[in-house]
Amino acid sequence: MKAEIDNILDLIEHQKNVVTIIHEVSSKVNSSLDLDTIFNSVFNLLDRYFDFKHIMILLVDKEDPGQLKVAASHGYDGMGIGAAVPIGKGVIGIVAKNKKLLRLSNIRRDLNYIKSASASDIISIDLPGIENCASQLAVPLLIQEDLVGVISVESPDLNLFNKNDEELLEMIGVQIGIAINNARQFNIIEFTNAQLKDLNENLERKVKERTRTLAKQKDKIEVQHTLLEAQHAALEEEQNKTQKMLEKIETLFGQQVSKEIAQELVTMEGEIDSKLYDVTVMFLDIRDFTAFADSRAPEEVASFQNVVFGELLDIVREHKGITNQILGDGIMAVFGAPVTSNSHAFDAVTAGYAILDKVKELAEEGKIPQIRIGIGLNSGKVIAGNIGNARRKQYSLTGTTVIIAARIEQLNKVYKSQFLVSEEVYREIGKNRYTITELGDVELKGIEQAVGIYQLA
Amino acid sequence: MITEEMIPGMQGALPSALATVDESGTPNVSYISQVFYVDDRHVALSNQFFNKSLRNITSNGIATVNIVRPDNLKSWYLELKYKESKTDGELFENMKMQLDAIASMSGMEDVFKLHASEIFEVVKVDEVIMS
Repeated sequence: MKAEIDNILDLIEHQKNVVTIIHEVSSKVNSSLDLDTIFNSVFNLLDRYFDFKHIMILLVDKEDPGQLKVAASHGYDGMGIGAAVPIGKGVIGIVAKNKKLLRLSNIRRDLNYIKSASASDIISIDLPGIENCASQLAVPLLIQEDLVGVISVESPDLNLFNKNDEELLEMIGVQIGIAINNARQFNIIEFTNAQLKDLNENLERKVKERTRTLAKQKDKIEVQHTLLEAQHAALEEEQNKTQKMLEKIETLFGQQVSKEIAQELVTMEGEIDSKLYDVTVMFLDIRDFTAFADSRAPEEVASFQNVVFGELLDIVREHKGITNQILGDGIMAVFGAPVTSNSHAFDAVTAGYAILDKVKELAEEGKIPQIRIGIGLNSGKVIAGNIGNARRKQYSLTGTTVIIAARIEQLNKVYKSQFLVSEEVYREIGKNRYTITELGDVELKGIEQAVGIYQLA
Repeated sequence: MITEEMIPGMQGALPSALATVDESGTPNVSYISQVFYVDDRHVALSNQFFNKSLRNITSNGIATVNIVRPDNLKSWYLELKYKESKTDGELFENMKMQLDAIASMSGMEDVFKLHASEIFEVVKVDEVIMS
């Protein structure tokens, strides 16, 4: 009777302890996500209330799902953490394989039986646990139906665990499963959070990088803009210079300068110096202009002058010549200065022919009366340059070459010709190109040496 | 028939003596690791090898087994009547797991296999009185 009462008292004590431990474990599980903390408090409670001295929790190895690894242990002097148990090997491995708890009461005896009954040599498999284990109870840890690990208790004593211990450890196992699941969910959330944070930071970094790139590009564009502005300013200055130069040329040469000459003058550096040039000088005279002028109304004379001189100046300009002076009934022009030219004689000769053709054409068209003109050309050296004061300078030619040209023009009256050139011109242009009549050496007024004269028209 | 008090004697802590008899009346006693508790009227024995005990049991259907509590050495004789051989179900799986666990510790899981759970009805229980 006393034994039965003791039994009942024991059972009540046991149930009380079970309630206490389950309460404590579940509150721990609900308040913590740290598995190590939870495992250790489970170990301490099992030791304190049930005198379980050797406990370990093994979890399915993430890298090799074919084995379990010791995640926490109690009563093994901290040894064995990380030790592996292949699924299907030993009490723990079999529990993991079958996902069912297992309780053994005399492992040593059973092992000896296997060993003695086996004909062949037996290799002992090295599994974590106490060396002289006799009793063992192992319970699978499941989340839903999936195995996550095993909790195992062992003892060197025979028959230590019973049906009540099975129930207890099963309840503990459920709590641990919940704890592991919580921790995993939390880890998943943490991982997702970390990923989101990463993404966020990445995005921020990219935006920053892009902003930097854009800022750099902006700087570059600004520099380019400044450069362009500077270039523009330089161009404007250049244009101003050119404009000023053109103005100067216009001042110096009037409007009697061809575009080509003007451009060459612009590109020439510095002032136009007074210096020696090889040129061809042209004198042109309208015959009997005085008589013509006297017999006409002044308007008619002015209109005639405008038409004829306008055309003459154009032709001179077109042939790279400069009309230096316009006299009442004639002009003086120079070819080969201030811009030097190798073809000044040729230019002057073709200009002369063009003038004769033009005058004839104008007369035929009735724009001007029938007139005769005389042209004289001479080639040689002249001094050309700006002569005058600061306010009014004139581009002038001086030298015998000029005087000879003037005299040759006057010879037209003597020879009843229209176009006479000196031997110097003749040599420059070559004989074969035109119908040329040699008039021989002619004495010219004020000139010491006789000059060879050739008639072109 | 089987009481709570007897269950600690059926957990394999101490071996149990199994007595059988053949058709000619020759008795045979052998020790077995465990008598498994099924319910208060049934127990099971593991069939790992065909041995004499099993031959006797299957031929005449009777046996007696002695169980001992390891803590107080209380002991009982159970008179058994052979019922059936089971190769599946929860009882078979539980018994198989035990054998697998032990055998696999020595790498012998392919040799030591549970062939069947032999189910017996308990027809009589006698407590062994030691004096």
